[in-house]
Amino acid sequence: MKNKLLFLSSLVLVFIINLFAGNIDPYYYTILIYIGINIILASSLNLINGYTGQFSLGHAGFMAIGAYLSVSFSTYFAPFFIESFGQGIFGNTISFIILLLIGGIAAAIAGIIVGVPSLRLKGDYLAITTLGFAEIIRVIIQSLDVVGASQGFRGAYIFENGMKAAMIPADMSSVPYVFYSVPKYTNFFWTFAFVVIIIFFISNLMSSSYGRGFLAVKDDEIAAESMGVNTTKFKVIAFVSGAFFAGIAGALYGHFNLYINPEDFNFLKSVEIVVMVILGGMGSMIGVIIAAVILTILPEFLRGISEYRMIIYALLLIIMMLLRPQGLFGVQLRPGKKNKNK
Amino acid sequence: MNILDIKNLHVNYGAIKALKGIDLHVKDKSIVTLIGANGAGKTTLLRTISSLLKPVSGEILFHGKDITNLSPDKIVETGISQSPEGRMIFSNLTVKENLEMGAYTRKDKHNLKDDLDFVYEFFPRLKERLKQMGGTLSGGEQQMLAISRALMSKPKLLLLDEPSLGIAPLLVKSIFEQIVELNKKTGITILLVEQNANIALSVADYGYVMETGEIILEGDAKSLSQNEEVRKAYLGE
Repeated sequence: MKNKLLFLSSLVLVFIINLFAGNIDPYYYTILIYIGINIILASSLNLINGYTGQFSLGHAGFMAIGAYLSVSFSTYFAPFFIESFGQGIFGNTISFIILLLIGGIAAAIAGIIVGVPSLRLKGDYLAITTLGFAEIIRVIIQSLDVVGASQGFRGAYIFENGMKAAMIPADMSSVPYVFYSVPKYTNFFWTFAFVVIIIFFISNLMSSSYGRGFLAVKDDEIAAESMGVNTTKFKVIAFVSGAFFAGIAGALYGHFNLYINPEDFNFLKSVEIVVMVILGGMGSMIGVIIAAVILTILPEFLRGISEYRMIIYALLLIIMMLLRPQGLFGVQLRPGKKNKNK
Repeated sequence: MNILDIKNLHVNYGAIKALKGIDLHVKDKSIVTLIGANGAGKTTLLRTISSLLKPVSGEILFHGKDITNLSPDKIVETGISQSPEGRMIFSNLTVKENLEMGAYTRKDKHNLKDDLDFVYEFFPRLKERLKQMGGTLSGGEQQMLAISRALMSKPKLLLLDEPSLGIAPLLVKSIFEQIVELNKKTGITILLVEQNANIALSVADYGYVMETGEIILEGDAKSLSQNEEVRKAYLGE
């Protein structure tokens, strides 16, 4: 009950801030939205890598699926959305909720497809499988003309004869068309509403007796299994709900940037999210949030010394890992003793 | 009346035959021990009963009902619970959370407090350590915790895998006293796997001796401990 109240008041707070968000300088506003999206990405990966102890290295793949699917729906089916819900604030809200869910659910389904067979693998093997999955997704998108292939996607041309395409084909140049660009639905409210949702989702899950199953799987899989914990089920649940939120983050990203490119979701993006989780401390909610904030802002601060930017960024990570290998807020595990009996 | 019957059980690890036709019977409310050297297949047998490993052929009956192909969580629900070898405590959960994990499959969570009190009675040391992380306990305390955790699912059959492993001799004695006490007080059936044949045979009613995947000898614990072969091979004489 107390939790519900806190949840609702957080949402109201986000809403109120959103009313004033229009006054924020666009540059800072953009950074703010990216912070929110990165918090969602890092927290959802934390559910898989941090709490459940599985090493997934393909989070950008789920983000890509969410982004591409929701953005292509919002452009290719733009006439449908406009006709059904109108373009008022109310209609846009409904459209956007549907689009976000499309992105999230598509990513979750991909999560089931990848997760069910590959979660029987452990450690490095799972990392390689998920990495491979994300790269496959990216390469597929790169060769899909319907979403602009490697040139990226910014909207759909709908021709008078009913044809739809991401680019104008050569022989169609004389046919009249309407271009539907990606609608800018993402704003401060939606981004941070989902930040609030994922924070409450994870903290409620982890403090329940059900959620302790995740921690048990991480700690010792065989012991968990002999306690009657269905370890595969827990791994799949963590993986699929992580993928769902990554898909939402992708949908938010697409409807903010208004242009998405397969390269936005490459291997480096996956690594960036993993780094946020490791830097913040595996399984620490607050640590991962802070790491997501820092790692989004830091490159901006270092913009002044542009060519050395990435060097300093990398050095900071190395120093951090030397000084606090367990992450900012991570708990120091007992060294060496685990897995002795395997 | 047997609580557990194992018939002609075969288990392989890839090409390696770990169990080659095990027949084993456990009487209700008794303590049965399974002794044997390293690599004899004792732990493999327990893990197969808990369904952590799948047999190639053979049957496992619990109260006469076939449980061979149930999943591990269903095994716990039917009333078999294991304290695994090497304890396998959840080191990043507190002692209390570890115990609650033991009751994971139970539907009647409201009785949890009584059961916690019940295990504190047997192992009062745990009560002093409730808020401590599992990983910070001593070896003996971890063993107590592992046994208590297995008890939290209210099993009818308790599988104990080497409770004496890596524990100070003095503590081993007191843990085994508690095991006997547990059996006497609650009538819980115990299948005890041990390398320490001496102490295992002293508390058990019946014993089996395993060697390279087969049972080579069985009998009353008393007669086994006087058996020439056993004394030579396992009791160090």
